[in-house]
Amino acid sequence: MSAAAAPHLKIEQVTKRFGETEVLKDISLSIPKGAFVALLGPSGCGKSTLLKIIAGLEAPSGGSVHLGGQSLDGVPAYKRDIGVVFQSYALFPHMTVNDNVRFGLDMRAMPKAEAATRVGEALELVKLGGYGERMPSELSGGQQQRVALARSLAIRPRLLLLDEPLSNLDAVLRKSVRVDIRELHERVGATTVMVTHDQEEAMSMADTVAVMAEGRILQLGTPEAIYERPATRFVGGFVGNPPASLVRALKRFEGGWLFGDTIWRPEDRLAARMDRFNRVDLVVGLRPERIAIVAPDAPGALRAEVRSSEYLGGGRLVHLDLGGQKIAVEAAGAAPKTGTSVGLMPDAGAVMLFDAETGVRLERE
Amino acid sequence: MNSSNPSSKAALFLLPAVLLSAVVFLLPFVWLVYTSFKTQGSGSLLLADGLTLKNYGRLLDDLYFVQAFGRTVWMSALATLLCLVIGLPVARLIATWSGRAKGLLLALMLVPLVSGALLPSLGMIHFLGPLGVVNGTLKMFGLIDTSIKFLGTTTGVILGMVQAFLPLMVLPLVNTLSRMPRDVEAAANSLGAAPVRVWLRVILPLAMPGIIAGSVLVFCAAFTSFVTPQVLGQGKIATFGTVAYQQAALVLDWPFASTLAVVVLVAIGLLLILTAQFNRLIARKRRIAS
Ligand SMILES: Nc1ncnc2c1ncn2[C@@H]1O[C@H](COP(=O)(O)OP(=O)(O)O)[C@@H](O)[C@H]1O
Ligand SMILES: [Mg+2]
Repeated sequence: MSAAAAPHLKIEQVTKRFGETEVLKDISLSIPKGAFVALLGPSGCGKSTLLKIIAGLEAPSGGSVHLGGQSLDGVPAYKRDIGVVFQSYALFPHMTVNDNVRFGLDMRAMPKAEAATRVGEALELVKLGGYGERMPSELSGGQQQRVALARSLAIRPRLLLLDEPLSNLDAVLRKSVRVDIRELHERVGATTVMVTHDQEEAMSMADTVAVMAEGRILQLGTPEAIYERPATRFVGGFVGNPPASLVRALKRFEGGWLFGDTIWRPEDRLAARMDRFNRVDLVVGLRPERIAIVAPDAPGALRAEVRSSEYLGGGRLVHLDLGGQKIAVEAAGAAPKTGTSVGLMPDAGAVMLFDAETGVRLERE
Repeated sequence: MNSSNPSSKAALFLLPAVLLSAVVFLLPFVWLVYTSFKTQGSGSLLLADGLTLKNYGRLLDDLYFVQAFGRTVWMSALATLLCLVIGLPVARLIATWSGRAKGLLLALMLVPLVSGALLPSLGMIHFLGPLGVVNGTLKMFGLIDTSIKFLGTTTGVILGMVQAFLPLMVLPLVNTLSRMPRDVEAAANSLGAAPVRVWLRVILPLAMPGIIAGSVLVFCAAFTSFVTPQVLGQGKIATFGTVAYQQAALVLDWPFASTLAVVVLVAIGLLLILTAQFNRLIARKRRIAS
């Protein structure tokens, strides 16, 4: 994002209260034209509320939203030219697919012939040409969702908002629709904000991810940055499939860290990193795919006991007990026996260190 | 396990109820139809021998009855329309409320229905009388000098009908408006529809089953009402209800009163069949599997 390019969508210090509860606390976010941004967060963290505020369907308690340089303050939803695809799709059940897609064009009093062409194009775009005369109730969930997409795109919106677009689809369809929506974005180029609680969806579809929790944006960045350099332990424990294990370490002596009742002497470079902050305790983030299982007494290895393992097709996710704390490791090959002690050798470059009190990441490049 | 059809077993259990319904509802109706084709013997209250169409002929011949019917039709239609206009926003408000408040409001709506027609009508007398609330308010704001005459006029009767039967409109409307699919209004809004257009293009079409049900209920109730036109019309407004009452209870011409009743029951039956057909048409148009 170059500093010179003015953001297309600019959200400044937006807050939202429902009675006593503060659902959004000081949200600021700038999105350049043509971007695909995912708002990622656990359910109930205020994602849909933020989306509704952008769309004008809900009024913020404070702060402002600008689109294309204009303030949207006091502009009603029907004058914003913002397309919204709802989680429930919200198709008009009493109208055919054609009439659904034409609705927004009718509202703009577009001449009939032009509107018909536009409707046809929009339906072609979502690969539903020939379905125009059907009623929504005659379509599958995936098709209904595409009608909702076509309906929003037909008005050539200045901004496209998607609220959990994949949550009502089955697992197989979800993967393919993920690709379809991304391809559609490449072709149409509409600035898009998508809301999801599924980190895999956010990471695979968006070019920028905003991780939200409890009404705040914790981190904004590319999927790679969020995965490689999570800003807080919450983000580290939320993204990744499976997410990173977070374990608490107490300093015992120079170069020696205690996990419950297990002493760990990391290899020298890692030990130096951990000692650098002069902390008596740290939260260590370990990515399951960046740990090797070695002999229990190998130098620099963590000693852990196997609890269970799940077969994942390509490999196996082994769950272990590390001095009373849980840790997960991805392993190829045969399942280690439950109850056996093994050594865990983390890839030093992928070990993340967080402040034990604040949860903030300690090493920032 | 025996293989007999469980639904036929259930039907067996229902048999007493079906028989009871037949005795309680069907027999009086059959008797009503039968009497409508009879006349009274001269100088007696007993039915004369032989079947005749005389009562039906009289109904068509006598302008008094034709006019009373016509008057009842347009008064009921107007009352229905007013109930719809008032009922839509009220139902909408109730439908958007949730939980306890909604239940309480719905219960309140039921009070006039279950308390019978007389008490609310008596209340309306005070409300609409020359020194009543309406006239008082209008005078207070200087809108009128002399009291508007509501009692003994069709206006008063129509207002009484609206007051008495509004719940019959509101209840079905609340039902359909509460079951509005999620987010369709927000979707219409975001697609560029101002609130009025959201109502016209989305809310009203989706509420159509409730609008039809409520309208039919209010119309039928208004058409057959007796207490409201009697009390608020003060004997000056002849409607189907007051006329039928006169014939049955004052003139004691049971066969003719039966004829009046049969005509109205058949008309209402036809109205209900038409409504059902219309609903089917809508459903087929929406192709919603039932
Ligand atoms: N209209 C409302 N009134 C009161 N509370 C609300 C309303 N809408 C949402 N909330 C509350 O705000 C919080 C965030 O909701 P939402 O934005 O839907 O979360 P998300 O989409 O992230 O799951 C939730 O705790 C929810 O209960
Ligand atoms: Mg949500």
